Amino acid sequence: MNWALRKAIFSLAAWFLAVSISILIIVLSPGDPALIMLTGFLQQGIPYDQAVRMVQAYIGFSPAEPWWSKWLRYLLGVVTGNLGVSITYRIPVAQLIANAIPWSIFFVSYSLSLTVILGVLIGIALAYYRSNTIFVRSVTTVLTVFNSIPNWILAAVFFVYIGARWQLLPYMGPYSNDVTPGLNLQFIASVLYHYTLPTMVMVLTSIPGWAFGISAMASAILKEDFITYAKARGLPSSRILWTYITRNSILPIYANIAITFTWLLVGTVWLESQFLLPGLGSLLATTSGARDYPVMIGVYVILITAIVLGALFTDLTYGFIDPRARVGET
Amino acid sequence: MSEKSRNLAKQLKLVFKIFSRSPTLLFSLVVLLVYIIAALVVVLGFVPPLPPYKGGWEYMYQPPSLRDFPWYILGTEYTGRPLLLTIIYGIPKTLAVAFLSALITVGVGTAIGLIAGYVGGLVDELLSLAINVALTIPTYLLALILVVILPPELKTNVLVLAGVLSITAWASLARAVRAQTIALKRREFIDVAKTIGYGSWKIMFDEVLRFMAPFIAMNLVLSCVGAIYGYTGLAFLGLMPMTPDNWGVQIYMAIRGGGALYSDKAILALWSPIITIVLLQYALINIAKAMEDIFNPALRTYLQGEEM
Repeated sequence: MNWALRKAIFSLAAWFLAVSISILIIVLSPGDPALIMLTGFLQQGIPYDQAVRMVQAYIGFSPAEPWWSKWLRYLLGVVTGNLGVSITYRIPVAQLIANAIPWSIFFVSYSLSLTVILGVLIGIALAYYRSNTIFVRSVTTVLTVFNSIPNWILAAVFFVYIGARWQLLPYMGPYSNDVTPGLNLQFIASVLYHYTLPTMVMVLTSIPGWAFGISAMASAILKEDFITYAKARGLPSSRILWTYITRNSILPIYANIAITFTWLLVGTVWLESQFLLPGLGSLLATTSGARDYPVMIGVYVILITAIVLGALFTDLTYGFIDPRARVGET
Repeated sequence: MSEKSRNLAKQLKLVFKIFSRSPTLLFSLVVLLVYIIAALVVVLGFVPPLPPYKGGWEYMYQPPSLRDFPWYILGTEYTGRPLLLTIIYGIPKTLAVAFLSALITVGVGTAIGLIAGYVGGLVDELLSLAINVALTIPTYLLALILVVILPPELKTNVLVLAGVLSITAWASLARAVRAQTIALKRREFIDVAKTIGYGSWKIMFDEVLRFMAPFIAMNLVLSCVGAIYGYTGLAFLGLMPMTPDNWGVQIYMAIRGGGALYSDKAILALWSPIITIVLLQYALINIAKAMEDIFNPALRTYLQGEEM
């Protein structure tokens, strides 16, 4: 358990530094949001003292104080759950974020599990049927093409064609208007149906990395002596495939789950806004367009927190799956 | 000297062998070459200047025509300018941002990884901490915030954009270079170099770096892919200056302003920039993969052994 505690403390330190450095970069850059907001208020004819107080109320720090005091004050706000007030919605940023979080958790974890499962299956198939050149060539070509399509482009194309033009799948909003949100079967079915297209985009653009990684691992393992020995012992090939090859191929790239999680989380900025879904990504995208700085920085900090938690979770579960990780230096 | 040139010839022969084996790779190289030539043609001024903005529905998204051949063969875009011309004007700027950003990413990543891995001790502890913190900050996320808050005159600066798009992108390369440096440090030739009296800097940036050159070259290409993703993707969100020569802005306008949702009027304006981006990314990813093959020692010995 000592090992888990050390991991947690290390993550906390990384989170603190990442948030601090980001805040300092934002505050020290030529576009300090507090100053931009102050200029905006002054242009509206608001007296200077009142404008300074308004900026402080919205974003949590005043444009007049030195950089270290802005940083400390904002960090204190983050720790106490006070992220300022949204300029466009006029409600606390923390409340906006709390409403958005469940949607993003659902979208990202749904896409992540599908990506990993399908990616592993395709990767194992690529390695197992490697003698079938036509199969390997065609699958590899398709994967490379999807690897080269940015996820926001695939989202735009699916939105325009599968959604708006051909009307094959829902392409706007998280559920249809005729269901009542809550824990009923109709609502859940409607949400899953509406998230089909966005999830397809997420999964199709993130599968190649997993498939290529797993297939490289599995190809190496297939050449190992213990596979030959297992075959010689007459073990059924399904057992060799799942217990011997698949499990050993996943272990070395298990940590990639955290990387894919981060990648999908960042992807929500484009995908949630494209398909008009609620969530952290669309909140960031819409408030960026409206220059709503308190919300932007608040969502940014929450996303960093989610990434640190995702990495910690991956590390801890990996330690339980593979005890060797617990004694290693990392 | 002759030993060196013979080695070089051998390496070139190997590179040629890998290229000739794969038609996709050959295709990718031709594609990249076309983009580079197009960029040079624009930079050297062989392309007519962009005509002025023409407002009004009648000028937007006109169908293809043979007027001023070949510039109007894709019709016009949302500002009434010829689409083909705006796409070609996007090439030098996109390539410049991508290449500069890749240079910064790879330069910083390699230097930090090498120093952390080779020097070790407290320096390694501090640099490793910096790498781990940077790894938790996704580049496009911080880049998005910075692109929004930076004043407009900085947002159009190629160097600033390149810096923003590589702000924490160097971290994963730094981690990999550090691990490889630690492994290489234990090899005998480093001890030999030390005994001869080579300084730390010479060993790091000459002896150790030489072994990682193909890996670093591969990362240079992959960093270009990442920078193009960020540059066009942030423009698609409407956060970059709305210049007509950004492919992300062109796709954004085709969907939001061109009615691509309901009609085929802007179909060329939607698909031309999409194909331009995907083709470039596809070519770069294939070239990076080939470099990985050159880097992969097993495959290299296999190909060299076949030659003998």
